[in-house]
Amino acid sequence: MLNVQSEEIVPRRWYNVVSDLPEPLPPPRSSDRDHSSIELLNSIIPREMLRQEFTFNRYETIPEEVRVQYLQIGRPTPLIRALNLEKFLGYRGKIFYKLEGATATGSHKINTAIPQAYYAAQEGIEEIVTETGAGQWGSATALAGSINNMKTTVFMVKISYEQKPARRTVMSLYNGRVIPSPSSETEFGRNILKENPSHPGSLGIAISEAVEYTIANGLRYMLGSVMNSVLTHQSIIGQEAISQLDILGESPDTLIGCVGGGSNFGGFVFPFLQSGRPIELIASTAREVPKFSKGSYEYDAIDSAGILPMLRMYTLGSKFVPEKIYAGGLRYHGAAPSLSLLVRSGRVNTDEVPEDEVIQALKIFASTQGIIAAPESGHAIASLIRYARNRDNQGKTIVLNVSGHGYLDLKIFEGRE
Amino acid sequence: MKLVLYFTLGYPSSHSLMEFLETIPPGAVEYIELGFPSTDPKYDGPTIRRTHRHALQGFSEQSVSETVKCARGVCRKVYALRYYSDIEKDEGFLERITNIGFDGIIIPDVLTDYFHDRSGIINRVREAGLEFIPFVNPSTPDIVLGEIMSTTDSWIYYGLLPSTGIMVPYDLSSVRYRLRNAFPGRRIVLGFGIRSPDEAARVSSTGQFGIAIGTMLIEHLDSGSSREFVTSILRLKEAISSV
Ligand SMILES: Cc1ncc(COP(=O)(O)O)c(C=O)c1O
Repeated sequence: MLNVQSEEIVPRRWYNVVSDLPEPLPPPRSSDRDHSSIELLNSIIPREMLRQEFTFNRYETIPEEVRVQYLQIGRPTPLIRALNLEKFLGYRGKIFYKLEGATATGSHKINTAIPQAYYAAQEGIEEIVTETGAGQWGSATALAGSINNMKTTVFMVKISYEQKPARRTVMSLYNGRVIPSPSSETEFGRNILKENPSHPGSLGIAISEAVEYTIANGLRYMLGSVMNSVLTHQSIIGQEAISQLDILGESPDTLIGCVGGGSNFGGFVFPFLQSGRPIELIASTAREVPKFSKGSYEYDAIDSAGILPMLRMYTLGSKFVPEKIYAGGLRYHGAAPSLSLLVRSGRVNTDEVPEDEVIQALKIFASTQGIIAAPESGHAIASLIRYARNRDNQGKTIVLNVSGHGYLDLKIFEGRE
Repeated sequence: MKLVLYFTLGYPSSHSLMEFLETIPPGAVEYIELGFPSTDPKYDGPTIRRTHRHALQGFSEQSVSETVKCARGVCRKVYALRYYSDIEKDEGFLERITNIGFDGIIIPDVLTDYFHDRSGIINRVREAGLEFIPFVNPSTPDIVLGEIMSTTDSWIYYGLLPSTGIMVPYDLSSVRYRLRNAFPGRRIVLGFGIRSPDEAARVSSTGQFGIAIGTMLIEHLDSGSSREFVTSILRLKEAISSV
């Protein structure tokens, strides 16, 4: 059996890595001396999210309603042996990939959007709010809102809004209202527009607008990555993979995934840490956003406006303006604190891949496995190819996480077919 | 259950802090923690941060010895609280506070932000003749709780929340379960975020050794009413004494 898929594989609880880390996880800290940005979270995110953010509980029960929706959007996602790729690379070992791109919205982001929207709906909230850069997170949030009969407002970085009309269509099919940011909906946006009416926007501005709009209207704000609670929800990826590998009688030597804020990577690899086996973990990032090699490990803001609490993490600085690579999801300046801690302690290795190599890797994956992966996932694929081509790594069992599909990012191949 | 109170040294002023301390009814309080004012009290919420900022103006260590004497008159033991980053900049600090008469010290950031320095500072605290009170919180992993259990023997300060005075929901029954497993037989004081007698009663249901109160009493120091201050302490005491 090459593709393992059964309802029972979807776990009944999430796994939170905090209690199993080798060192204490530095907690979120207020960014403002006089006001507490942690206190602020009380009024913008669902209470249950706040509890999960600060809990040491190793396991959290997945509400039945959420688990039902996980099945609806296509979980468990397939775990497939990449026989064609193995052959293409001449790899003497086994390569498996977990395909998060097979979910309804096309990426792992839906795994946390569903519970966050559910907790907001439980509080009687009628509208949820978030920001999106490339559009994957906005799409997931809009669908989760729609499933829970809530309105969804998405502040989309204006330049992406203009360049990615298909993403806008997806979000509106999911009943999402998409607003190009900076916008006139918030004071923050109006001030920016006053100075520069054609401002292209940024993720930091979009976050600031989403938070302001949330507060002004008494709504709930959805967190896309980086926060520990989000990584906890994403643990569904790794837990499913463990069950699927078990059924196949396989035991991995190496896990590879890509890192933007760290949510698909953490969700994929952390559940494997419980076994205590010395599995090699490789976090792949963009060479153009070298947070692990050139960033520093310190407290820094989550958003460029500094509204949300600060986290201790590898960061290039919250004002860092990355190159315009296609993998929009990897342009984030920092990485989740738990992942940062494990990188620093040497438990997780890192690899940085430039865009050209990523495009080559995406093409190889498409022509061998038929999967057109997201540019973000292309980094993980490129790191896998590097790894499998190394003579020292023959004979191993490697599992790769393909965080999303790339059907809405085909532009990356223009002029390169 | 026992009551542990936190104050920032020099707040509202050294003199008025001592006046408040003297009003504490005998037998009501087990320990008193006295915080050394810091420019960056990173694990404190807005209220306690404000006391640090205020107390820093014109703070002098001279008044500390009298404050400690005063505190000692109304409780069993007196502990210093100071951030590691400040201790490291202040040579001879541990020896000085031993001479002043502190029983021990709580260093809230050492096990998180300076984890790799822990053995060194724990030894120095002990060599200075002080008790080292470990401060742990929800983000302290199990392996570290285990290490604390086997390498220390004092009571342990468990912060329920990531910062003082900032409310984040948490589940008390899992706290009880965690502490019972991690620290069998140890005295635990629960603190951070207990802001009312009702909450004190709820937290005391975990059956631990004590609770620590900070932010809640500062409001009384601000209003200057020693009568309300004492009433509050007695209410807290009553709320937890059934346990
Ligand atoms: C397909 C895909 N993969 C990866 C990422 C990176 O985010 P994270 O590191 O949180 O998984 C994104 C973020 O937008 C994404 O859309």
